[in-house]
Amino acid sequence: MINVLIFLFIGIMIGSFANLNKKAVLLNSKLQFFGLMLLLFFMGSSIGMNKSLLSNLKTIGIDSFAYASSAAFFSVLFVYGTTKRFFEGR
Amino acid sequence: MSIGIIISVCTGILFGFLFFPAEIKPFIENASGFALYFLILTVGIELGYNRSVFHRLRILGPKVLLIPLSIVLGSLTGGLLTGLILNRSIGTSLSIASGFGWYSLSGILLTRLASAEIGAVAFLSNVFRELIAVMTIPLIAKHLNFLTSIAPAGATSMDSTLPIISEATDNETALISFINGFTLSALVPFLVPFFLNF
Repeated sequence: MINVLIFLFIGIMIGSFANLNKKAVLLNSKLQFFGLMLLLFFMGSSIGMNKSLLSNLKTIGIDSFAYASSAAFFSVLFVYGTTKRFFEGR
Repeated sequence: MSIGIIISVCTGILFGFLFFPAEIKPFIENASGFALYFLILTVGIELGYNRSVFHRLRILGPKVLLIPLSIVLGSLTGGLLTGLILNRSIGTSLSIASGFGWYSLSGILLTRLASAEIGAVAFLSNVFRELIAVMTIPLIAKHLNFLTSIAPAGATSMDSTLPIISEATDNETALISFINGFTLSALVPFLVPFFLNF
């Protein structure tokens, strides 16, 4: 976990102070896309190699949907309350 | 983008299932560790480069941060209750909910930091969250109010769902939507590992 934070911090410092031009930012987003695709491939292979996980795919799907719908529902509820209290008229 | 994501994950699953022997698992773990740090570095560079958002934020006032704060509290409440119902650990549930719809990063982080199963749940649940957002944003904007339509989108309100929010609401809401997505995206790499240790 600490490594994740270190790399995030180094990145933010580079992005803030390195005076990057548009070309460098474009390259960064291309590299980011490449890194993302590579990682998702690895993530997929971890799933594919895990036979017990594959046999539980139905349960995983139902659990995932439960997490998604409840998180979205309570976010809507809380934001609606906040807008009624603090952003009246919007 | 989303087609690339689907192709990568599916090819990975297929390769893992058909071709990769169990012995190369440590290699995959190491390689994905390096790739993760690299990805996080590029995410950081982007966040640092887009810091002009903070200036725009000053014009709108700090009140605008109540929106991402409400989404964080709402998502965590939803995650916690679902965890209790499904009998999953509180830390894991809060970690999954702290993806705020950013499926690729939360899935990857939890595959790496927890297990392939939790990573898969995080990935899928955040994919579902984005799908729910796409379907409900126009309805919420019409029947509740503009700002609330940002809520289901979570972290995706700065990129993939921004065009939908922008279409369904007005310019100011679109800007707040971007700021909201930016703030939540910045929180994901902190909150996902943080809650896992609960």
